[in-house]
Amino acid sequence: MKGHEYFAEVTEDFIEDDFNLTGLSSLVPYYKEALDMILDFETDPDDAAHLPNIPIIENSADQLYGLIHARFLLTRQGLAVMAEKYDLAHFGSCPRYLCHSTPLLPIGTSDLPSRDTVKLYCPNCTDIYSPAGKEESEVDGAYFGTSFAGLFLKTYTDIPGPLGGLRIPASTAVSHPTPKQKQSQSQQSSHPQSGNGTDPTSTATSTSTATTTSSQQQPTSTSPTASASSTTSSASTTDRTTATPSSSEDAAVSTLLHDSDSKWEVFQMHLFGFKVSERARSGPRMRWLRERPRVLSDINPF
Amino acid sequence: MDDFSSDSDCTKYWIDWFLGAQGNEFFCEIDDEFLNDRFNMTGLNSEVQYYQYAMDLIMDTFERECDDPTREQIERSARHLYGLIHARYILTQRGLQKMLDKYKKGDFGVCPRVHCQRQPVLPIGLSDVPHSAPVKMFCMKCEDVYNPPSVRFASIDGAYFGTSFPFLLFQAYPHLIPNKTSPERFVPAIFGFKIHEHARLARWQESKRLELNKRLEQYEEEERRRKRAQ
Repeated sequence: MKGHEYFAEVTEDFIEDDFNLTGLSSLVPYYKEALDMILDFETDPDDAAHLPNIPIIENSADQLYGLIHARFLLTRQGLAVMAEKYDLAHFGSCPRYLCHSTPLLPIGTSDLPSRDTVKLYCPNCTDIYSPAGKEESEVDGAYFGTSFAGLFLKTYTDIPGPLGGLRIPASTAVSHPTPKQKQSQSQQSSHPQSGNGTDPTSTATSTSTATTTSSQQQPTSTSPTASASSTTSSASTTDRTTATPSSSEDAAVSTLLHDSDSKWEVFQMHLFGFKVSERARSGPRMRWLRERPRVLSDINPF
Repeated sequence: MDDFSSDSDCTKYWIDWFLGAQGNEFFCEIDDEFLNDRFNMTGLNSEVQYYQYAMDLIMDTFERECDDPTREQIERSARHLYGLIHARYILTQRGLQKMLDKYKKGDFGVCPRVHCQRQPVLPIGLSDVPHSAPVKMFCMKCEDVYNPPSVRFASIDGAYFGTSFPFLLFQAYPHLIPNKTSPERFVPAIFGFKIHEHARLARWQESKRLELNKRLEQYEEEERRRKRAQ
C-alpha cells in the first residue's frame, strides 16, 4: 500500500499471543473485530448484523495493526526485519546536505495514537525530519513508537551514533553485529562467545585485543557503547592506534567506514566569500546544534 | 525537464516560457532594465557559448535562421546564461525584493527539520562556479543546508543562485530572521529514558550555545560602551 513502505510485516505468532496485545483493547475501538480482520478470521454472521460498517472496522484494524507493529519492532525479530529494511534504505536518506545521504530510521514523537505523524531520525546529525512524501507524512508516529530508533542503534552498534566519528577508547567495548555480519563473525571470531540471550557477544578486554577484533570486521573502535564507561583522557593516545574495520559488503559497515574517515562538517555562512560574523544580527546563531566535540574528552562525562 | 522547444510557442516571451517550465519554480523574472545594461553581463560572454545569440533569445530579438542542433545549443546556452544573470540579479535591491516576495509566498518550500516547524527555506548554491553542484535549500532557523525534496531540482545548478544570496537577503531584511532564543532540540529516548551519549552530546551543545549567548551579550555591552563614549 502506498505510504506504508516503512512498515515491517508483523509475524502472525506475535499477533496471536495475547500477552503482546495487553492494553491495546482500551486504545482501539471495536478491538475484537479489528483483530479478527487482521488475522483474516471470518466474523460471526450473527454478530455482523449489529456491527457498524466495514470502513470503521477497517480503520480500527489499521490502528490496531500499527500499535502492534510498534510493539513488534522492539522485539529481536522486529529489529532484525527493520535492520534489513534499513540496509536497503527503505526509510530514505537524510535531507541535510552534510549528512551525505545517511539512511534514516522511522520514529514517533509520541507513543499514543493520533498525536503526531511519523518522523525520520538521522543517526548522523541526531535530528528528526518530516518525510518528503505526502503519503508517508500521513502515517501515525505511534505505529513506530518513540523507543524503536534508539533501541535499534543500541542493538546494532556498528551504525555510528552521534559520537561515532570520534575515536573512543576500546577498553570494554561490546558490539552486537547486524545479522549479515553475525555469520561472518561467527566463522572468524576466535574469542569465546558468551551466549547473551541469542546474540553472540564478544568482549574485548584490552586495546590490543580490540585491534585484532576490529581487523575481523568488528566495529569496536567506534562503538558508542564504549563511551558510556570510558572517558579517561589517558586513553586518548592509545585509541588512535585502533584500526578502522576492514572492508565488508554490509551496507551499514560502509557508512561506518565513511564516517570514521571523514571529518565532521558544519555549514558555514559566507557572504561574497567572507564568513558572516557572529556580531551581525543575521550572523550564525545555531552552529552549536550541528557542532561535535573534536575529541571525546572535551565532553563532560556527566 | 520536459519540452524545451520554445519555437512552437512564438507568441510567448522567452522569459515567461522559461519561468513556467517545470523545475524552474525557484527563478524570478529579471527586469528588462537589468538585462539591457551590458555592464551587468561582464565576464559572462566567456562563460556561455553563442553568448550573443543566447542573449538575443532571452530578449526575444533572435530572428536568425539556423539548423536544429545549433538552435538547441543556443537554447541551452540561453538557459545557462539566464541562470548566471539570475545569480547576479537577485543580489540587487529589486532582485532581493522579488525573491523576498517568493519567499513569503513559500515558493521555495519549507525546512524538513521537525523542530523548525515548517520554516520557509531559500535556494542557495554551494559554489559560484557553474556546473559544480546542484541547488540546495537553506533554512535560516537551523542555519543548515538541505537537499531539495524533489528530484526535478537536481538538474538546476547552484551557481544560478549563488552562495551569498540568502545571507544578503537577511542582512537587507533583518526583521525576517526567525526567533532563535529558545531553540528546541531532539534527544532520542528508549522507554522515556534518554540515551546516554545523545544526552551527553546535547549537554555539550547546550554549553556551546550558552557560551555563544555570553559572547553576544559581551558584544552588546561593547557596543553600548562605544556609543556612550562618542
